[in-house]
Amino acid sequence: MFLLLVSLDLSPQVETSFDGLARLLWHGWVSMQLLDERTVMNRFKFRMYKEGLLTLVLGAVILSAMFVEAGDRSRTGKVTVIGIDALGKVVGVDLPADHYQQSLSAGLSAVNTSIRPALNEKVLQIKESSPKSWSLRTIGVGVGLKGEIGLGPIFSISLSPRLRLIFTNSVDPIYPL
Amino acid sequence: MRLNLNAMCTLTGVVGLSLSLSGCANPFANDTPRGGPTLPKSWYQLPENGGPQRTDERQSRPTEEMSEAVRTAFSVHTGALAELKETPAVELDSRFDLVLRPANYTPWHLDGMIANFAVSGGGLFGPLMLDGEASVKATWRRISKQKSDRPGLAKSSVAKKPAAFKFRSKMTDQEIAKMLEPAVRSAVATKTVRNERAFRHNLNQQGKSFARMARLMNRVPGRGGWHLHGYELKLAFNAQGQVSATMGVGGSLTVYFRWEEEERSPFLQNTEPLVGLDEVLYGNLLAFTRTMGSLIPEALNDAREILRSGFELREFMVGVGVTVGGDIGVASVEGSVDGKIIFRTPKNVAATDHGLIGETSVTGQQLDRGDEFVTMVTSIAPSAQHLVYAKQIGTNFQLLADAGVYRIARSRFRSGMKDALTMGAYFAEQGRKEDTASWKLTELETEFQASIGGDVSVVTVNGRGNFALNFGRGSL
Repeated sequence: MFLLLVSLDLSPQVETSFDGLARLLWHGWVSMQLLDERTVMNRFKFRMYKEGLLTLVLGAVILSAMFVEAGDRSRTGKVTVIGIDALGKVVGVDLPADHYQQSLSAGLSAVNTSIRPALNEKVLQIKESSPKSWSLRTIGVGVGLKGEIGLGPIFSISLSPRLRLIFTNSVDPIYPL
Repeated sequence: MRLNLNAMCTLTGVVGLSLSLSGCANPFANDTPRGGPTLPKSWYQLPENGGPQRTDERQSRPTEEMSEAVRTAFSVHTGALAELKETPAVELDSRFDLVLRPANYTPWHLDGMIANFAVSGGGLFGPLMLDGEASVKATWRRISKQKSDRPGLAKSSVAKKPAAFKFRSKMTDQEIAKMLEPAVRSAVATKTVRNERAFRHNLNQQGKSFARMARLMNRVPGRGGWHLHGYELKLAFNAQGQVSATMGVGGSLTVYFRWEEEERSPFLQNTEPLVGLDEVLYGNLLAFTRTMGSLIPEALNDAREILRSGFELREFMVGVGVTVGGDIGVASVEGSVDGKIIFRTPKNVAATDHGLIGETSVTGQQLDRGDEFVTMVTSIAPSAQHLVYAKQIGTNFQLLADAGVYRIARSRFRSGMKDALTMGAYFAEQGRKEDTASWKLTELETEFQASIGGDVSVVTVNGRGNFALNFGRGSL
């Protein structure tokens, strides 16, 4: 059930999710009906029925919640990136949301894994001999996602998102503006 | 205009990641509004610049389609953070003496992400790329699983503080020069600034001016409700060491000055008399801060039904302009900004409690004057269009040799602040669900531009903000 949901979570087709929910409910109902017919003792039958119903209801609630989550997290829309180019003109580009996220995720991951080893260098450590002197506590790294969108020779702009990752060795870091 | 033919788009990461995006389209070079969802016009265009009047459509709300676009813009960033793999924290060299560690030490770790979002001149909303003014700044921070779990121990998502030169009200000129000297040396060493002498002189001059304002601000009474909490100045210097801009525009080197309210005893008040321009400045500053300090809770009260996003208003920042004659007011969007005054309220103080405590050494006439209107200062000659608009709506103005001063009716400004809270709360509402197991959207700061008529709109990518609302939420 869970794997199904995960796969649905990644699917941009929310409608498919609801198809899946309907099928699952139907299968659950069928198995419960079978259980009811095989049970001889009424009390036992009722208990099993109740448990089955409870399981089904809980499953449906969880499923619904997951589908709502899937609906929220599925990147079916588009993202409009906006900025001012070198000529001072406002530019904007529509990008598919899922692809934007994938690219961003790859960029963040690359920054995260490449910066962290450097933080272990002695030069970035707090100096043993002079604890009251200046020491590096926070680093803001602009994520260097470089992008370009082009339409042949007609139009080409460079994309450079304005976001920063904050690395720190303080529990109470001072964030840059 | 939609351009779909032969669209090609490539995003490349810093280490050579290359991802081909098919179907990217719709570049627009002239910001022409397209078929996509946009914010209501009154949200991003001021009346004097062709936007609708308050009576027309100031009450408009964004469509559900627009809200979906805003949520998507936030959620792609949350999603990208959520996909980051957990990596172990970088521990210190084992030889490091534990005793010497600062109390707030934790191993190096990725703590947060700040992303900027913009509103185009046509009302579109999305991540800010290239250059331009950010309309909304969003901060995500890592959630610690346990209180004692390092890294990510941050107990609360405190409002951002810039890494800045911190001023105190009693600093001498020598202390200021000593504090600023490392900036001079590093700027020269990195060849960011080539004229060392000019840079040192200009930086120190700016420092002295800032310290003068800080001294006056430290005398302003009132710590109970929304009150003057800090003063901040962003200075951009060019390679010749000259101040190239004060706010919003980049330069070779950017320097931040910051002063924050200092601990003081109510029994040890500063009774040193003020003379000359300082006296005028202080009187105007007191009137201005008193007016803003009372307007903020009133506007919050007006907008209380809107503020249900789970975020709370933490800071109200106003870009201020100061004239040679000592007038202080909200800096006009077309004029220069001399700094930002930060208003905060202490925890556990009701938003409507804005009583002043402490000394009051200003005349009743000055306070009354400040209560009637909000001053707006522009350092450049106002355009004829703006003056006509000001006359039309009943905003008084005064043309000085070096500046223009508008007197905006208090009630109009209060209404504009309510609009600002509505807009700020709207973005906060859209970001309300941006949480994952490891990351949380903790802060949203929205930049606004205030009209000479008291109306307010979100700053656009090619605009300029003169005040900001910082919404934050919860502890991590």
